[in-house]
Amino acid sequence: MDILQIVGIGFLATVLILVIREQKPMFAFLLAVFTGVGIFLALIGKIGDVVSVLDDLAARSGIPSVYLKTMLKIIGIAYIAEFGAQIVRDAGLESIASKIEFAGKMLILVMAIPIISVIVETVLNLLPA
Amino acid sequence: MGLMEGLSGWLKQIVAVVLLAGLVDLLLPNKTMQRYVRLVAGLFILLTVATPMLNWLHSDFGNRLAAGLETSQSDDRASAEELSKIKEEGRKWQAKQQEEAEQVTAGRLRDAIKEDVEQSEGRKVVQVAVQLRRSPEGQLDVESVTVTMAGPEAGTNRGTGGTGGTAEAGGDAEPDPEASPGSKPVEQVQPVAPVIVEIPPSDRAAGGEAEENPADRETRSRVTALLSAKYGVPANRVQVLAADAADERR
Repeated sequence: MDILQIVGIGFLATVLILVIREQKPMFAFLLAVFTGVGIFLALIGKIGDVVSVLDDLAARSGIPSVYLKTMLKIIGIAYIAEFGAQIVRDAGLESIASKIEFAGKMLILVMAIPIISVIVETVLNLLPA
Repeated sequence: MGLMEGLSGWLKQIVAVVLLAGLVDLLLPNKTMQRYVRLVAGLFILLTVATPMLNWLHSDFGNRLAAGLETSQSDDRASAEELSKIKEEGRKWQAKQQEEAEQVTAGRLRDAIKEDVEQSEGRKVVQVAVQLRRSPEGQLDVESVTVTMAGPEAGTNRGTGGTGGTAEAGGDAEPDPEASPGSKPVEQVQPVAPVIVEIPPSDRAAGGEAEENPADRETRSRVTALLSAKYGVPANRVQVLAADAADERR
């Protein structure tokens, strides 16, 4: 997928949505959702290249693979939450969109818990008993 | 040298983690998530910087961190998996225990039968083989008992031929009526139901020379009766062999 194609699809979808919205707002919303999902899925393959570069970097420098895995999961969570929130926001339900974002933030923070616990434990062990 | 290598590895790690954090920061979709992701990335960097100290304090922190991250990320799936794993383990242990119990039961039964037969016959018992089987309800049953006798008559068996087939049939039939009235369970071999003391006809047909004289038949019926009376093993599951006859068959 080229960037021109993506932008073309975007323009086309926008015009169609603007036309339909007057008659059937429901279909306009559905069209927006499917366009978004289509672009997202078209580009998701490219992420593989980025991930492989990151993998290579991690393997060469010897950072634990858990770090990389956690980071990638965080990126995934952030993207998916953002995507869902935007779609819901487009439909005009701001409150639900913010709840989705909140869920994404919480899930990201949950991933930090093991790291925090290890650090805290280390610091406590450092102190003389 | 070792120190320098460790130091360079450490520095490399720090640089890589910082690069990784930068890339992740770049990949993020919007500002709202950025603060949270930066927190996690910062923690990773902190952890990397502190790695030598952590290693010095307790060497297995990497494993524990990995375990913690893995479990926190797949919590909901993990619980189901964990449960099935535990169940699996339980089944395995149960099977093992049952097998052990079976072995112990078979061993005790073997010893008891050997002793009894030796006492009642006044002859040496070369070998007692007990085969146990688990019934569908989980009860332990005796599949077959094979008693191999040593004795003076054993040697003379082979010469006498003819009557084998019919004589054997008579021998089989005899112990049966005795089996039911006399049978009473013995405590240590409770789960056991049947024991066999006779040579199955098919065997004899195959190896014709294993026919036996009346004296042997008597021994067999006596042993069968004893086993069915004392252990409640049906006569048709008990098999009595003379030592050399058994050898021949192999």
